[in-house]
Amino acid sequence: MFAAPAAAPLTRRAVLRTAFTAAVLAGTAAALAPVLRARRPRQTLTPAPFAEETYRGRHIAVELAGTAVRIDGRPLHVMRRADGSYLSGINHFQSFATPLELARAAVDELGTTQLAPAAPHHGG
Amino acid sequence: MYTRQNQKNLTSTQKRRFTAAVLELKRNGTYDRFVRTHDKYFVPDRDRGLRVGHMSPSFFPWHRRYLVEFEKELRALDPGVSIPYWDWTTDTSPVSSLWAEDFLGGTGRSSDRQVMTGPFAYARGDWTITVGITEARYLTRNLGRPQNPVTLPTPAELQWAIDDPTYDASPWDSTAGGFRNRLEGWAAPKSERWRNHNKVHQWIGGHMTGGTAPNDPVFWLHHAFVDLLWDRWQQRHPSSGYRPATAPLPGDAQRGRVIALDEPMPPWNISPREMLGHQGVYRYEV
Ligand SMILES: [Cu+2]
Repeated sequence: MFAAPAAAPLTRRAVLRTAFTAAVLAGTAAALAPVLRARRPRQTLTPAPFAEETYRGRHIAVELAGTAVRIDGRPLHVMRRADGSYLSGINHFQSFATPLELARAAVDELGTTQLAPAAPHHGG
Repeated sequence: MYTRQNQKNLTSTQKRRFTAAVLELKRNGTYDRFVRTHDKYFVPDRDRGLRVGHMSPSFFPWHRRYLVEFEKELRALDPGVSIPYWDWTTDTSPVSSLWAEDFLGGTGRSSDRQVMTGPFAYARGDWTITVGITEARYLTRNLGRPQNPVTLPTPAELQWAIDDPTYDASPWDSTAGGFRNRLEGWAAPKSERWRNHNKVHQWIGGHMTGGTAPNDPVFWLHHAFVDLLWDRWQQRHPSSGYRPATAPLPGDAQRGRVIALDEPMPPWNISPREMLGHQGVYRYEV
């Protein structure tokens, strides 16, 4: 019930992707970008492409075909409002027009900490 | 019958008794159960699930019950304690007595937003965050959000919500008109986007912006004021009442997703009708 509709089916691809990003996570944000670039050719199992950017030193990945968001490889719990805008576990009382804006707002709020590897869920 | 006082009128002894009871609930595990409950019942309105706590008509009665349950736990420890309220239209300073060392402590430090003062500072050892969506084990705040400033709601902004004679309206969600959504704060003029209750969560920042907002004890003082405002709206519009009176009809997209006047609210199976007043339980100091 908690997941946004488009992100609901956790596919084998998504699971592999999580494992991949988690493995990369050990490095700093600065080290992360080259590593991702170097590994990208091997991501043939993950056709759903991510838009990626470094924002305030943090790595943001937004699934282009859906609503999955990761910050430094950790999943951000994304929710939708009836008007189509986006909320997250970090920003519950404010919504954003796009998943990327949502991710940047989460980075702003995170400061120097990381998302928990497994966040508590809603509506469970 | 007990009284919920304006926090600014509490004596230092009353402040100490309140925070001591809160710390004891944290120590014995009760507090974190409440944090989990709040997060669990936040269902956003694009989901097909039942919305009870937010983005729905039962925002007021659900939180009223939630506060009463919490207060029961506090009063079992110290019968002289109740939840104070924070009038955020008048106590607007990030250095007011609310945020002092002897009450809730102040804003977070700039490096990691960690609250360093007061009884809930991590270094005191009594306030470790266990139900969080980040790795931070310490309480965080960012009063006023200096890097992207937000202000507390003005009296005029609050009045704009109170003046609406309709409690709530179809589609009963975060896009609806009516008092409930104006005060919950999804409804706002385009130039502002957020108002009232939601904006207060944003102004405090840190844990208060997220699903585990009750990790910050100011949550209770904020919601006690929201609860008082429901009274104020009822007094201003004596012929208006909770809506919807009956469940949305078959074919209505909101059927099964909102709580009508006599339907049960989880997790307590209590209806909004049973929460319309609080006579005989508590009163507000004016
Ligand atoms: Cu709230």
